[in-house]
Amino acid sequence: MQDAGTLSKNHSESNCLIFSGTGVLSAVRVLREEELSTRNSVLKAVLSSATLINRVNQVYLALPRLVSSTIESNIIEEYGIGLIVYDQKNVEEVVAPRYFQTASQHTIVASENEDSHRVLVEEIDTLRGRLRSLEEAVESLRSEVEYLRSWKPQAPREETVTSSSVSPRFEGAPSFLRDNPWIEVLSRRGREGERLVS
Amino acid sequence: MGNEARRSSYKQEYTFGMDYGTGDFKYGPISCGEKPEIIENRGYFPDRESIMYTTFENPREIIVGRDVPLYLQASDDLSTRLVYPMKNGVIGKNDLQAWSVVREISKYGIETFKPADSDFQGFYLVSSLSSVSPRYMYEKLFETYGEINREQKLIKAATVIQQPLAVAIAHKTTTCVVIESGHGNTQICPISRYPVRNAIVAINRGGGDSNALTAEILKDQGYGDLAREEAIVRKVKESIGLVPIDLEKAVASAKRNPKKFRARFKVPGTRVSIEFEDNSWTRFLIGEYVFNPNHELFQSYFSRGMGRPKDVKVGDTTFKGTLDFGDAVVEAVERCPIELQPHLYRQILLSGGNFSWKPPEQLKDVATDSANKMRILLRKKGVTNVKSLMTESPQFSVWRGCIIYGYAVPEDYEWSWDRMEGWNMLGD
Repeated sequence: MQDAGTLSKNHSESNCLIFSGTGVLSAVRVLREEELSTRNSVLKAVLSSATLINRVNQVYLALPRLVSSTIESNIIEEYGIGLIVYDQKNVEEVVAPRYFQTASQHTIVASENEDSHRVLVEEIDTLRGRLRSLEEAVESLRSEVEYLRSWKPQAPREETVTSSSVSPRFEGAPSFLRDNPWIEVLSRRGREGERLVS
Repeated sequence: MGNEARRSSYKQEYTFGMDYGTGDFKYGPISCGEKPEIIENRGYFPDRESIMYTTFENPREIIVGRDVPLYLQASDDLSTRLVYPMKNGVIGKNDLQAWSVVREISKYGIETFKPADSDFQGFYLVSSLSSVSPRYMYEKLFETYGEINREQKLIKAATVIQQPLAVAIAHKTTTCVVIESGHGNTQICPISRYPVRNAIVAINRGGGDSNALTAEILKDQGYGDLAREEAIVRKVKESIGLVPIDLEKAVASAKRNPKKFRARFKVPGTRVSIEFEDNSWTRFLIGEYVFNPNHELFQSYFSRGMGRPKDVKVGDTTFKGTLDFGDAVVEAVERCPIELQPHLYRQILLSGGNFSWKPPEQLKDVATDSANKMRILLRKKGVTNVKSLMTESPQFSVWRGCIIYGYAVPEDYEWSWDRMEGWNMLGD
């Protein structure tokens, strides 16, 4: 194994070490020398390591050096299982394992794809809304410009507050009385020839 | 100071405004400042057998103002004893109970502010009615003020102005279209220093109609019991209703992504909670209905028994039922002189509680406020040079307009039934 990981505390397989590191989960099924006396121990170790595929990302079979020659390494490699050979002095990776995506990682990726799609659709909707607002603002500005172009200067407006007899005499007059053009308009009710718009 | 100046000075000091709203009565003299006094526009007729009635030496026939709750009894039939006279903006000519409440509440308001000054000759009273109120309402009001004055000299002169005119005056805009939308109806009134009376368009649709639609939506969602409580229905409407920029697009967006438009309303003081998620698209129906009830999405509610707003004639005025607000504004403006029309479109004032819609920030791509909705509706009719805005302080606009009117109009401008303006001198 190239990278050292941390030994997971949750491994429950006997003679199986679980390592996790940089997002990769690795399992090592170790065949101990004392197991060699059991019949078919090598076969059992190979088969039990195969069951770990798809439960972890990488699976290793660790064999004592004295029985490693009984295994054809290319067959192990064909099934994606890594092979480690060990003795009293050395631990050697003979076959590198294939990387497997676990079942839960498949689900997460699919879900992430769905979420991304939804986020993109929502962003497109938001952008459409903004574009619509901008179009409306442009149209409104265009109308304002057309109106201003067509505007002609008019006679000075009469609705300005000039008469002192109707200026608010209270200190602190309410805001709705101050600078109100209606004061002048209403003060002339009955004083001018009225032209009712009808 | 000459006589005219003295009279003008007196009038400016003793101007008094009264706004008979659907729910509230706003009243007070100019000295109130920015805000009037407010009480509920209602009167209570106590049971003459009740202890509360017989306890007092001079028991009152009608109770108004802040004392009303003291007299309410659990066993009372409130529907007959508790009277809201201005429920739909119009009082029946022969509705004696309602008119007596108006008299009592007006007297209550004026007496509250009667000064102790021995030189006091009465207030210059300005009250306000809907722009579509029939003539007899003006007559009855003047008659009521005359009755009050016969008991106690409180009013020197009285006048009545139209609510949209009062709103325009308070907003400091002399040329505009005022759209006043309340509980029962909506009035579109062009103003050009005067109300353009022949251009007024009335719509038989208001906040009460969107309450009715909200109740139907609640029933569909299984909240039939809550749908019967008017106060809760109104709160649900105000809490979760949305005005769509485009109804079909808004509904499609909400159906595609119901979580984004999810809403929850908790009934105050209870554990009851109303959830809108799968049906969150119905939030847009509530806001749209106010402005335009003609979309086919509303058909299913009409076919299941919800009343479709109808055309109704009151006095000389026909209230249109299903005319959308865009068409209504165009109809009103196009009754005015051509030269005036562009100026009217450039100042559209929205007034009344029915326009208080605020879209949440995260939904502003599909939901909008009332002012922008009006711009959108008018653009669809081909009118683009539109400036539409909400009035500031909509609750007090009418009262403020009354005060300004009373302050400024000369006291020798006499009442005319042709103009429907001027002072009716009661104190002489």
